[in-house]
Parts: sequence; C-alpha cells; structure tokens
Amino acid sequence: MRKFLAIFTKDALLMLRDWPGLAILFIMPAVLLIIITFTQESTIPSKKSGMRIGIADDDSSGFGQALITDLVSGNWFNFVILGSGAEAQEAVREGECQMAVIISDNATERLFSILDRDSADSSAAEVVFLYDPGMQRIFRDAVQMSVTTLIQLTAIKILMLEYTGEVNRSIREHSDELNSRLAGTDFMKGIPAFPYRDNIARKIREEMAKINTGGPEIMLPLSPSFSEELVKVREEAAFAKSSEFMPGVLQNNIPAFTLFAMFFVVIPLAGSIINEKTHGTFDRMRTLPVTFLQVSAAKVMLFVAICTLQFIFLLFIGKYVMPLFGEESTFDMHVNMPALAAAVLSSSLAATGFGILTGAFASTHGQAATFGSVMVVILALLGGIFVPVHVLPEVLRNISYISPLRWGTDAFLGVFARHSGITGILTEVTLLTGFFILSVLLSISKFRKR
Amino acid sequence: MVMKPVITVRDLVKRYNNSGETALRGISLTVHEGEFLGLLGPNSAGKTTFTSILCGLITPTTGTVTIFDAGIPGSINRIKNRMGLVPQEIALYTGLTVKENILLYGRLLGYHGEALKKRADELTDIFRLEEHLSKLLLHCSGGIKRRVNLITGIFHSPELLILDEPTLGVDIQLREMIFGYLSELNRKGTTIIYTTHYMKEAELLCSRVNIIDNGMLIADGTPSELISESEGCADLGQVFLKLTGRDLRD
Repeated sequence: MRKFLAIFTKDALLMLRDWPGLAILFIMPAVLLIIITFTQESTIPSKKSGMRIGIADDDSSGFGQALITDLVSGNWFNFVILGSGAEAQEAVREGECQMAVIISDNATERLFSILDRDSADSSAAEVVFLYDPGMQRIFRDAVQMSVTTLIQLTAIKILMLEYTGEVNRSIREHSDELNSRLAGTDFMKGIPAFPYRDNIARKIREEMAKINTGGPEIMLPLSPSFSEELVKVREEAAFAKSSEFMPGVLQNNIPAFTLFAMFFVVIPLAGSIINEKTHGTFDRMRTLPVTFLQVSAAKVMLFVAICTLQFIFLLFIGKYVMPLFGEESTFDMHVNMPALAAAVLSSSLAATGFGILTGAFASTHGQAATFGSVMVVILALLGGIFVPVHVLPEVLRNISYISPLRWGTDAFLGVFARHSGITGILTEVTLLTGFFILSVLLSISKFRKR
Repeated sequence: MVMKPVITVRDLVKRYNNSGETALRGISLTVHEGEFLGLLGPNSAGKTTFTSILCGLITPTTGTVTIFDAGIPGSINRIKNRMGLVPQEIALYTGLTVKENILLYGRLLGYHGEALKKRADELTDIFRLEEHLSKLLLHCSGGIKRRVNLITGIFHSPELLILDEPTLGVDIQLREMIFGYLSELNRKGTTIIYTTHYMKEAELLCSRVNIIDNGMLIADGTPSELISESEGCADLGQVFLKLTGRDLRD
C-alpha cells in the first residue's frame, strides 16, 4: 500500500505541476461543452438564431398581404419586410438576409384563377424562395419546408374565403330567383274564392320557397387544368450565374471539410517544432550559415503544399469518388480560379501559422496535440463548418468573427457557392493572411525569448 | 611567434531575466589561433552559457565578444561559416538516416554536388559509418549518434571548433578515435574550445586550460603550469578540486 501511495503521490505531483496539461484537461472540455451545447440547440433554425429571412411582396394584393401576416405572426423565424423582389435579392447578396421569400406579381390573381373553371390561364401563383448558396442545404431545406407549408396553408385559407363568399353569393342569387318565380306564379287561379284564400296562397308560397328544389351546384369550381400545388414555390440561388445552378451538399461540404483538415496540420507541424526545440536541432540551425527566414520559410512552404494537396485530394473525392456511392449532388467547379487560388493559399497559410504558433508555445507533444486538435474543433464549430454561423446564438455568432475557420469558410463559400471573384473574398483573404503573419511574428518573439 | 587572437572576450556578464540568476560575472579571456583550449568547471559554473554566447545563441547582458574581428552577436552571420559547434545533446533528426543527416548539414554549410559527396564519403570513412549510412538515426546506437553529431559540426573544416562534452557517454574506443581526430585537426591549425568534466581528457588534449566557477574565470594556463603552480597537486583533477572545492553544485 505504501508503495502504491508513493507512486500515486508521484503521479499526482507531476500532474499538478503540469499547468498547461491541466488547463487542457479542464478548460478545453468546458469550452467544448458550452459551444457544442449552444450549437446543438441551434441545429433547427428558429427565431432565436441569427438567421434573417426577407419577405418582399411584389403582389401587393390579398394573398401577398395574408402571407406576410401569417409568416410574421407565425413567429418562427426572424423576418424582415423588404420593399421589392429586387431589394430582397440585394439583401441576400449583401448578407443582410440568408434567405428571402418573394411573392410574385399577380400572385393573388393567379391563385383565384384556379376557381374559374373557364379560365384558360393555367399558370399557378408563384413564390420565389431565394437563398444564399453558402447556406448548408439541410438548414435551407428545413426553413424552406416550414415556409412552403405556411404558403400553401395561406393559399388554402385565401381560396376558401373567396370560395365560401362565392357560394354564399350564388345561394343568395338562386333563392332570390326562386322567390321571384314563386311570387309571379298564380297557382290559385281557377279556385273559387273562399275565406283565407289569399292567406293560404301566401303560406304555400312561403313553404315552397323553403324547399330545396335543386339549388346551385356546390362544388369547388377548380379550373380543369389545375392538378398541382396551389402556389408554386420556386427555389433560386442568389449569386448564381445561371438559374440552373443549384448547389448541392458537396458544394458546402468539400470546402468546409478541406478547411477543417487543413487546420489539423497543427499536430504534425507543432510536433515537428517541438522536436526541433527539444532535440536541440533548432538551436543548432541557428549556429549554421542559415537564416531564420530560410528555416521557417521551408517549413511554411512544406505545410502550405500539404494543405493544398489536402484540398486537391478532397476535391477529387467529391468529384469522382462520391458519385460511386450514389451521391448525385454535382460539384460545380466552374469558379473563379484566381479567387480559388487565393482562398486555398490564404487558408493554408493561416493553418500553417496556427501550427507554428502552437509549436512555439507548447512544451510537449501531448500539449500541442491535445490543445491543437480541441482548438480546431472549437474553431470549426464557431466557424460554420458543422452548423451555419447564422443559426448560432448571438453570443457565439459574435465570437465566431475571430475564428480563422470562419474566414476560411466564408472565402471558400464565396468562391464555390457564390461564385465570387478575388474582390468578393478580399476581406477574408486579408484576415487569413494577417493571421498567418501575426502567428509567425508571435512565434519569432517566443523563440527570441529563449 | 605571436599567434593572432581568434576570440577576445571582455568583462562578459550574463544575467537571466526570468530567473534573475547571474551565470557569468565579468569574464575576460583571449583564445589565440591554433590553441586547444579546455574549458573546465563544475556544474552550473557558466560553461554552457559562455559557449552559447560565443555561438550567438544567447545575448550577453554586458561586455564584448569578438570572434575573427566580428562583434558577437551582431555580426555572427558573417563568421558562421568559419565556426563549428558540436553540442552536448545529439542535435540531429532521428527521422532521417545517418547519410541524410550528414548530407543535410553539409548542404546547409554550403556544400553541394561532387564536393558534398566527396566530403561526406571522407568523413564516413574516417568515422567508420559506411555500414550504417542507410539506418534511421532513431535506430542507431549512442556511439553512432555521437559520431554523426561530431561529423555535422566539423563537415566544413571550421577554423574555430567549439565542442561541448563530445565524449559524454561514449566507450573508450570511440573516445580514443575522437581524441585522435581532434588532435589531428588542431595540428592542422583548427582552434578548438573543448568543454569537459573529464580532467584526464583536458590534460591529454588541451594546450591551455581555463577553469570557470560561479561565472568567473578562476584559472588560466597550460595543464602543466596549473599543476605545478598548485601545491600538493599531482594532476589536473586535484588542481580542479583545490580551486573549486568539494561542495556539491546545483
């Protein structure tokens, strides 16, 4: 027992004196717990999330007004009322809204034309569901399904109101006509006058008027050509070069998980730096006729090349391997190549910078590996790799602005989903490159302190 | 014949900011061309701090260091090609083979092509490493690692060679080989600074010995001078103990 206690005490002391190790063991899981909980709560887009959905009423009539009332009073999402379809397009492009519902011109008229059996116009009323292609499909679909259900319900409500009004009008007209016919009929003619004759005749007329003699045909007079939904909901990606562009799951996942993989270079890169520090090779390099720039540039070049290869590899998987497993989503590679190169290079630099920084400050492989991998998961959660940033609670959304993975995700989605050019992703590229430079400067300062 | 000074150190002080410890307290010395200087001292005497300053790895707090007329650390890059360092630790890449390590350091020292191959072959032949060239350093014995560590410090035949306990943990056979090689280099004109805890090594190899203790230079002379000047001492070990005492050091 004494030996056991001695060994236990030894291990406990060693552990207690390893402050970075303890911080990793206790602080990192706490941060993970908080962030993952918030993230999971946000997996279904709701009013609590930061997702904003614009509504534009180009119809400006019964259906449009009723739909806006129903959407807003439904309290499901954060709706923003916009002036027109064009304004909605702009709001989605500028990132003010992630999606928009545009009620097309003449929607009410077209909806009511369903009731007109003689109408030759068979085109249904249309609502455009405009979305940012950077939004992951699962979340887009969740919102679209809810909104579409409400659109159809509103359409049914409007139609029923119109139809019941029509039926009531028709019944009234029919009974008025019957009454007038009865009033004009002298069925007592030829019957000798007797007391109460007129009273009896009036009574008979009144009772006959109450009898349903066939009346109007009560059925929903749908136009013969009508066979589908009441309102056609058309999906449309903002930023698309052509209306045929429909980004699939891969269009989001390939850039997102490439970025995730890139940042995992922190483990081999930090490990390599720690090896150099502990084996004395780093100091020995400093005694050789080699500059610090040559030593660090070689490492940066290698890991940037590895990150680029990761990107190409995952691109290959998405393009050629996923279809073998029945994945039908097409991956569109018709993107702005200089912008893509800038996104890959700046993300690779940022990932490499993160690895160098971790290697400079960590003392052991264990610290670097645990801190590095957990940090990458946290930055990925905040960066919109697993869940779009817009569905996160406000506090996490604000924190996410400092995640290099968010800048990387935005840059890649800009290229792949929004078809941006270099200018469209310039902010993200600058932030990623700036992060790399800052990481290297901090690492140099740490190395100099040695 | 008066030899040119290779290293000139004046009033060298090094105080570590983090610990507040003063490792060197005003050391002044000169090392001349062709000297084989033994730098001796008990643990934490300041030997490693001193050699690290010479190599430009640590900046002195005060004092001046000049090597080949270049101020250190400011102008260290100018003379790196003329200096060689064999550190105490095996500062090599365990994931590379013996040959790859040797070639890497050769290239970093400015060798390439046929000259690189020729020099690498020459050194692997001298240190009998031919059979081990393709082995990963990770799988090599301590003796092989020591030999490669030495080769990478002398690859470019430096004019000034600084060795920090190069025979730590090696067997007598290898020790003899290293001594022979270093003596040969010194005979050909290489100035050598050699730190060691083995007094016999210093007595055998060094033309001059400096003893450092508590960050100060406490003895300077040839081994025979130091022995003869210390009453009752028959060898350098006894001189060392007499000067530094028998108290254990940190």
